Amino acid sequence: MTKLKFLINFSAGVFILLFLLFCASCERNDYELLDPESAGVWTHFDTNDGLPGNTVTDIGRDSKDNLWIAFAGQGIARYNYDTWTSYRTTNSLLLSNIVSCIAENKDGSIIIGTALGLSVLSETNTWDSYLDPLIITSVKVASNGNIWIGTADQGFFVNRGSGYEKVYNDLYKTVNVIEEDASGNVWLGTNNGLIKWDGKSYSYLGMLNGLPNNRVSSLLRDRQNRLWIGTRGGKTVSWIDNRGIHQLQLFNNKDTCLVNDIFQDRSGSIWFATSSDGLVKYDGIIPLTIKAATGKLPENTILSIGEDKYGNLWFGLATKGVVRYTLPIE
Amino acid sequence: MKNVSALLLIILLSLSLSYDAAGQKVTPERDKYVLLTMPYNQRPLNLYRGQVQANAGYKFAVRAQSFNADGDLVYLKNYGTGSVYHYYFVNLRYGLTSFIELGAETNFLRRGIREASVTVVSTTLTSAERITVNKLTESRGMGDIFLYTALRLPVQYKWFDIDITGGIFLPTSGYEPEIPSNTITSASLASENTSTINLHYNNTNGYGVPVYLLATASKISYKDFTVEAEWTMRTPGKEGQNIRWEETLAEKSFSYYNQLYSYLLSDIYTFDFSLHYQATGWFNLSLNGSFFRTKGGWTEYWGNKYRNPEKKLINLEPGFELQISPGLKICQLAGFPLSGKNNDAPFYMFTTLSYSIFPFMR
Repeated sequence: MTKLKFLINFSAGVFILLFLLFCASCERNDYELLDPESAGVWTHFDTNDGLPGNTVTDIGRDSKDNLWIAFAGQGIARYNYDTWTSYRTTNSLLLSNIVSCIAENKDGSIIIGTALGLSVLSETNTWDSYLDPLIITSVKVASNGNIWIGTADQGFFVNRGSGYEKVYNDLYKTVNVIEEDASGNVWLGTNNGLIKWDGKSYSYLGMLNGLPNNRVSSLLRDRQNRLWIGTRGGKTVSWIDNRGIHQLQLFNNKDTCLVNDIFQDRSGSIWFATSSDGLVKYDGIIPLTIKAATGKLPENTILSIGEDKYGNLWFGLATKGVVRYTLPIE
Repeated sequence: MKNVSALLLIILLSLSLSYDAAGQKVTPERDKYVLLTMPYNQRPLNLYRGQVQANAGYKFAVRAQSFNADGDLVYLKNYGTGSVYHYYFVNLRYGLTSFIELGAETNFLRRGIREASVTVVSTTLTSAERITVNKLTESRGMGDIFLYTALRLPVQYKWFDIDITGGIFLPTSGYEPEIPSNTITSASLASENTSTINLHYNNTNGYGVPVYLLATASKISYKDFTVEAEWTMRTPGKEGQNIRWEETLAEKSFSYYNQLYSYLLSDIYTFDFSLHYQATGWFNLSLNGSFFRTKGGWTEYWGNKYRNPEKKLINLEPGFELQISPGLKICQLAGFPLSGKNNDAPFYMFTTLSYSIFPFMR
């Protein structure tokens, strides 16, 4: 009887072990895993690598995860992570090869701001043109579907579904950038301060309201619903939240900074593309400058920042193509 | 399925060995003082029937060096990032029969890791500012509860033994990190504004998911010498989720937010091989070689899943076991890292007090 009892106990124990191991071998999914060695890596691409041009003015991603890059002189290019497809005046109905901005419309078409008006490339590869021959500087498709277009010297245009309506004020004729905040307000950065459209009326903010400079060159609404403001000539960059306007010193050892673009990466850090100080990464605590001298960038003039579907950052350079940066892991 | 096959092989091996090992059967003397004071080279891997053993251990580790991805030793103190950690554990074992043992264990961890300070300075014609950032990542808290069953060879021990252990770490600990407790101090001197930011991250302990353990050990004694080998595998039961805290500094106050991420723990394999010498009936000396490695697993960063780097560590652990009284033993060992990869290489001292009784034996 004792031996029988022992055998039962032993068998039960073996069964428990097998059951545990079976459980352990369950619930495993197969994923495409990235190599940790690939994180934190900077990679430079230029025309030698197949990039259509070396002056990159804007970088965007569409809803199908294609990467779109705008060039000053070489049109635009779409990158599907395998090949580049280039669109120029010679192979498409693009209005000009000098492209300043790109955005995706609600219907999936790509709105392209050029030096000779607005080109729209539909999903079916048909082209339309608008506002010919204005110099387009910025495009924003708002959450309600309205399309806001900024120009170099003709104020801005709004398309609420029935065509482009011009809004012009001589003080604010140059619109550099357009952004929408979390409340649905549309902000337009001009050479004479900020214009805010709250859905009913326009209001204006300038240096008297705390902006570091009136030449607003870049805007970003981040995931914490802060509106970041970069200027050409301000000593700091600013952000607006529900507590008011705040200043951030970029630690570039200068009394001015020229911010061309602002972007928030997936880790939450804010990146500033500057005209002569390379990149500044702000992790919420301190801004760290990344210059060409570090070997990570081929030059110090960064025009634009975008992100691909993997969360890699793409930095558009003034004369030397793009740099891709894979975020580091901790 | 590969794991299941390995387990079956081990079980079959142990059953086949039981035939030969039956020759070592001796008549056990069921005297509790004899059993409690049984020297290491004469006792089986598991407890005797009815024996209760409580263990309490403390590990003190000095994290002064680390092995990098290439296996090179990095002296952390050169970067000002050395640290110490304290690990406490309690363990309760019970001999259900002389061949089946049940056990439960938990631990408490306290560790702080500093990173090298970062200072940024901006000096312009009109102003000068200096910010220094210090970062401390502290881990503190109770670990998961580990429950296990160990089955040993179903014969009396004389010179050879083998056992199999299966267990589970129940995710009972509060494994999510607590909100950081950052501070900032500022001073305005005539020449510059200076600020010191102390980032203090408060991590906890535990796996966050069930983790299964499978182990097997064997022991062979010859006169005063014993050789013991043990292989252990830990594998997670499922993917887990956790949070990372991020912070933003504005007007000298911090605001915090967290981001969710998922992970799959790596499998952990350890192999220990030790040689023991029974100097007297109450004193045993040992030299253990310990091999640790991880495999598989991933961690999500910013929407992408990255393979966990494979870790390896080989330690040499001289130690002893001293019988203080019939019920009380003390074990102590020191750990010296020999080689490794992607892993801290601490020197450590591990002390365990072990108290045994037979509550149901007169």
